[in-house]
Amino acid sequence: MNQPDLATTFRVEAGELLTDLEAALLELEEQPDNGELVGRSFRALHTLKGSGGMAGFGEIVRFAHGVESVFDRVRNGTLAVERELLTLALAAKDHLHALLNAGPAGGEELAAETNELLARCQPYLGTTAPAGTSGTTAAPGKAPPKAAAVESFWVRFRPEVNSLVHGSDPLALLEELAEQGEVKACFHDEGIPPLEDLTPERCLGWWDLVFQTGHGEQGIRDVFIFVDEPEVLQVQPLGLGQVRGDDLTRFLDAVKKYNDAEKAREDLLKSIEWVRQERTKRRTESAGAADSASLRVDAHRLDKLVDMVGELVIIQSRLSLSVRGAKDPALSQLAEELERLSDAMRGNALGLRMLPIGVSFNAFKRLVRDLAVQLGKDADFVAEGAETELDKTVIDRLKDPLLHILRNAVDHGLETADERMRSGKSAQGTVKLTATNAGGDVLLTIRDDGRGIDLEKVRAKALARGLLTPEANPSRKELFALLFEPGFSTAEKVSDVSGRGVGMDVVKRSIEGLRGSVEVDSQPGTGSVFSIRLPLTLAIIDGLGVKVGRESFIIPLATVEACQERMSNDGRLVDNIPRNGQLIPCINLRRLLGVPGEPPGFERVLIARVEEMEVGLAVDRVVGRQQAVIKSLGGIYRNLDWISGTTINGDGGIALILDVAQLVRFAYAKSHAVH
Amino acid sequence: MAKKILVVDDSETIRQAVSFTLKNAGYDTSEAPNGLVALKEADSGKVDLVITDLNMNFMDGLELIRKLRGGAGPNKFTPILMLTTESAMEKKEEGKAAGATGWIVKPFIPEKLLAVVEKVLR
Repeated sequence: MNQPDLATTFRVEAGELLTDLEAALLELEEQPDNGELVGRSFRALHTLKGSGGMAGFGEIVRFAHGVESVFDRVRNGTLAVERELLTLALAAKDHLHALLNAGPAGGEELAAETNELLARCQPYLGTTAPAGTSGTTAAPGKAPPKAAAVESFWVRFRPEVNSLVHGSDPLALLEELAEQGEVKACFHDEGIPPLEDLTPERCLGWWDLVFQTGHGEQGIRDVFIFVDEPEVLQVQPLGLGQVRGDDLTRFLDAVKKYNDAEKAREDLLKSIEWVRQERTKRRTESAGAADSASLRVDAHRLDKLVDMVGELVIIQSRLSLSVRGAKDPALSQLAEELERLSDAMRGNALGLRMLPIGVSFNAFKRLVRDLAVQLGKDADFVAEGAETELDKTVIDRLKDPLLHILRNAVDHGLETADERMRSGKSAQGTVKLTATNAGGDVLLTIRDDGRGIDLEKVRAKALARGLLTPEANPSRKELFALLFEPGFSTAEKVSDVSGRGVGMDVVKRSIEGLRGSVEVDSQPGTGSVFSIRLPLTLAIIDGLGVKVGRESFIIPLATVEACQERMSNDGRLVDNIPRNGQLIPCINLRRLLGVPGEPPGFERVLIARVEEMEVGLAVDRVVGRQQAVIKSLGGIYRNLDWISGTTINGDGGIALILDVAQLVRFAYAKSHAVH
Repeated sequence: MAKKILVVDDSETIRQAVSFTLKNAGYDTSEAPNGLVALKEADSGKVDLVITDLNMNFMDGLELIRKLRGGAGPNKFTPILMLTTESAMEKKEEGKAAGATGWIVKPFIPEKLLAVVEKVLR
């Protein structure tokens, strides 16, 4: 394998390891005693060190080794997990990222930072082993605080005949045992006589148990504390560690056949051997399976596949159309089957691009944590609905707007702990991100329990900024909408965290760029909620198909408010139509786009909502609702911003998908140029 | 309702120590200095547990256990724990044969006593 390939692979792998490391560190903050998380962090660092060496990232090896040594001490219990340590570890993670981005060569500045961070690690390493000198970091001190390993046992329990008379209830013992682990039991009733000969005081039945416990053999002995006669109690370790539930059943089947303990043991040993072999086999198989269970695919290849499936769907609908004319039953059945298949395929292909939104939650958690520390606030970040799926592109492009909103929530929304206590709240503020599916959309809410937004301040600021006239009487909703106006900021001071109020309009624009919408609501004193609504995917658009002359267009359904009808006008580019007692502008698409041909006597006007304003779009006729697979136009047309893409109709014709907001701007510019 | 435990020992100190520990843990206790008194007490009503010393005047623990198990009194099936000393571990077998449920080795710490009591009372 040549060097560049190895480096690329390492970059991808290391990126994932670092993400995992960060997640583990953040979880550790909440559960500092969780040994599994410490182990995860350690392993991530260890793997980084190992594979970094292979890929020639020497600086990463040197640095990861030092940090790993610290975590080794945490792992074997010499060091406790505490906030400063985690802060250092998170800084280390960032530095590893920087080293990764810098490439194998690195740089002097980075090396200096490596040294500085390693120096900060030094105090955690004790005095014996300086960081980065040796590969063995056997830390001195106490033995690891180990959680007892799970072991399996075979227990044969034959309570004494008079044990009930002696005041000990065998069932109580079994129940106690069952509390310690997973038990599979078999009751032997062979010795019990028919009911008429039965003396209920005598205990004649007995049990075979196969038992999985974390308390070891001593735990079992403790349960049967007053039983030490081997004929009453036999305990045989299976020596397999943890086993699966159906293996337990298998062992039970093996022992329960034999009254004679020796024979039972022989059969049990055979079963154990069998399970052992199966296990090895499984392990080999699963190693192979792991390779195929999930694979990394280049996003471009995925896009290409989605694209091709889109084409397939189109060809399929053309086929259906021609078959309908042919009236050949065999052929139409084939076409129908193809339709079902291609529909399923389209769903599948689009699903390939879907990722759970949780992949980006770590970054948010980190941001809130760091910001809170930086601002001296106490903030908790709660995320719900991590499993909600969204198109990868949407997730990627959503990250910045979300970060901005979160930053605002922590910086402007949340009060300091003192302030919070004074107003009777808990010292720790909460920022909660929720993702849910709502209809065909995904709904994201960011809720903080901070001081909320003061509408009077908003109004005053809007007046001062000239966004509002003094005589205007905006509704609550309209006032909140002002927050997203360019240049609006309610923070009294500009801080380096939330910036200079250039953010919220950008947030709104990027979300609208994803065909989504954002709004905010707030109660002074109790907090604010940002709600973001997004389409599941950018690859399909729900639109209304319209015709102008012989041209087809798709207007995104989300923007369409209503549809009206009127006599065609004299062909002016922009005129007015009445709507709910008001006149709204109406754009003549035929004129705007220069479509040849005469307008019909009656034309349809779609009422579209663009940036809180209604605009009519005059077209010849409305074809109907259409789910369009978006195909982007080539680079040549990139400057035509009022076309967001194209799609191919069922009849094979091409339809342009219109970006209504840009279209209105285009019409405005054109009408002014004309005048 | 609190579980009732009969504590039988000829040593006042042991009786008190055992009773004190049990009462603190919410059990109801009664005491008897030897097997004879204990048997009388036990025959007069059901208890949930008997804790008895082995070596006592008038009637020793083994005899008490045999009498309780063999009789038709209300405590025929009641769990019985015997108090033994380490050196008298051979008594353990004898006690078991007589019908004791289990044993507690003297000297014991309160936690240990409670753990064992809890175990037989479950």
